[in-house]
Amino acid sequence: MISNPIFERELKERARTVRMPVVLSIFLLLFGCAVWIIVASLTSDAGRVFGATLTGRNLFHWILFFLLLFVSFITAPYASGMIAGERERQTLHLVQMSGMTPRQIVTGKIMASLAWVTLLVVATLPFAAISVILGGVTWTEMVVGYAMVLFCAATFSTLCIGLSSRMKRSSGAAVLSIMLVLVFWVGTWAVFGLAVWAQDDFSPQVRPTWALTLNPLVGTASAIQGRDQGGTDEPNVMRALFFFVHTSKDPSLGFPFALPGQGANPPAPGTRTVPFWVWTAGWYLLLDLLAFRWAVVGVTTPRATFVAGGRRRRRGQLEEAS
Amino acid sequence: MTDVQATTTGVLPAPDREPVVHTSALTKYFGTTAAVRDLTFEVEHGSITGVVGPNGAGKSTTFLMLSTLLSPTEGEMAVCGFDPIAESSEVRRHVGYVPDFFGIYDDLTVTEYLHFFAATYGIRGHRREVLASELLELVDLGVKADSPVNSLSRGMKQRLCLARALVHDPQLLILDEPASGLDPRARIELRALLRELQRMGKSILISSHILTELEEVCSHVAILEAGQLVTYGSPADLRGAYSGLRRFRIRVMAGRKPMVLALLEQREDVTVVDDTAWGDEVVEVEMSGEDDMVAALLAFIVANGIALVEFTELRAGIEDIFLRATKGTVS
Repeated sequence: MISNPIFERELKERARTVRMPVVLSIFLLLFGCAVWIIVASLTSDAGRVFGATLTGRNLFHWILFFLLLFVSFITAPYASGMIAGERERQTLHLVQMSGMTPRQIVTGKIMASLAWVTLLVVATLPFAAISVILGGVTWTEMVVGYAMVLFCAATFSTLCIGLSSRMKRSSGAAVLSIMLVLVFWVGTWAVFGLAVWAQDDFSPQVRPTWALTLNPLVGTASAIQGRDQGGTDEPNVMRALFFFVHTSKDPSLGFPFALPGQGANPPAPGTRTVPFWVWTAGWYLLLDLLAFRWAVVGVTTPRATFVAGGRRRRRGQLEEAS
Repeated sequence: MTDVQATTTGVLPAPDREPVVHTSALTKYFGTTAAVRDLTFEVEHGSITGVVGPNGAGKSTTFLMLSTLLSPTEGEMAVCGFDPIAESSEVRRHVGYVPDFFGIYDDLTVTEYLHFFAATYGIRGHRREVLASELLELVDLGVKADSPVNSLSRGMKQRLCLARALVHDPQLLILDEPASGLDPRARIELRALLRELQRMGKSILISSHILTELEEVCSHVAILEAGQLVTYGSPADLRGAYSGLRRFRIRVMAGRKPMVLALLEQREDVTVVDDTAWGDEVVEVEMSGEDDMVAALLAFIVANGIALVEFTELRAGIEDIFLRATKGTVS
């Protein structure tokens, strides 16, 4: 698996370009600025007005939010150029003609993309370590939070590689990939809003949260908050999302989006519930598989474009002629 | 080879071995446009077959189909005994394809470029090192082994692409316009390399716009026009089929040209071709007939006391054959 020639070549090439260290530096700079702004606001008087203080948990949630945001929008255009870029520089035919199968080609591309995502995510660990030092965050929470971010970013990468396999230009693929990520980040909320409007009932008990199962932020919020056993109730985006989703359904109806054992949302006796983030992870896994298959078909040659019965008809004509 | 007749089906009589390429009524439509129509031809083992045609004749489309990169709309084909559609992986194992573009990774060195493609065939470790080294020696790029690919000249890149196509020791090489954009020295080197590859037992299918290039290396030539095969055969057979009248150049001693022209006027089987264009010593004539008639003409001139310096048959080149065989239409 590791000895995939495409993966090896991509790593070698990326390590030699100026682009990678530049993008990584800009990413860390922006991320550092975001963390600094959070810390500054949480320690300022204005921050305290809203009841927020600098706690490890609070900082960790904000770090995950920005990490997910940045990583989603950096990895998508990167991944979208992986196959379209090969097509653009006219090397795709050579790779297709080589000893690699389409499945190996796509696997190599996904591995290279995941390596890049992992590098970005791992590079932010020192920031997350600050929240651990401040207290209130367990190592398990950190691992779960980072795993969810990686999983979301990996899904976006795979989807964008699938997109890339069908595009002729990497610039076009990059634009489409950004739009695709926006669908997950913003589109899901739009669908949610439309669903609320359609059902004409704005009460929290009947919120159509199913529309948000594809939202990476809500899924991640659910994953880390599900392990929040007595942390602070400082207001932040993750906590808000968590309560938005998990207090929205009446668990007695058996709707599976409730988390068992949560004070705000106790399950009814005998109700089988599936955590919200499991739905997110499940959908993403399904999308990963579909995108992988789509990408494999996209790089498979020759495509079956025979006219139905054409070969048989032609053979018949030849036999008739002879 | 000499008994092969120029043919518009491109199927040569009973080869000793199964042909390395066989197509039958191969057709490819892009929308309603036929890029290739009813193409039937064969390529013998160990031959260098040139595919000639104007832009849009269907050369690259044919090569893409034979290389498993494009499926035909109709027709059948076999490459090294395998169906490029149903057995594409087998075909790829036996075919080295050099497209009409370089297709290189600029951030790799020459050796790394070959290592990458060798690795795609599962060739690794010491074997890969040796293979890359041998291939670079073969294409005369040994001194550039550690240079970045993007630092190579056009000719070097072309040779590197050829080396890349050879990493898995293919039986058939499909080269699409390999001489395009190369300087004269690079073309000469490429020709020498093709001959060397033929000596190594490779069959080569090559297209080029530079017809004189093909003439020097090809054992067979296929002329395509508007997606159809116009003619196919060895250069000698095509020459015989398309040249019609035989043309000879007669060079005499200075001042004897009027005497020769007067003599030639006596013969009805000879036509003088634009004698003013060739200076005071040279006359070009056209005549039909076999070698005995040519010998009779030569004897006639000598018997009449004309001292000849040169009496040479001007053989029609592929360019002449191409112009006579094609009408200048495209798909």
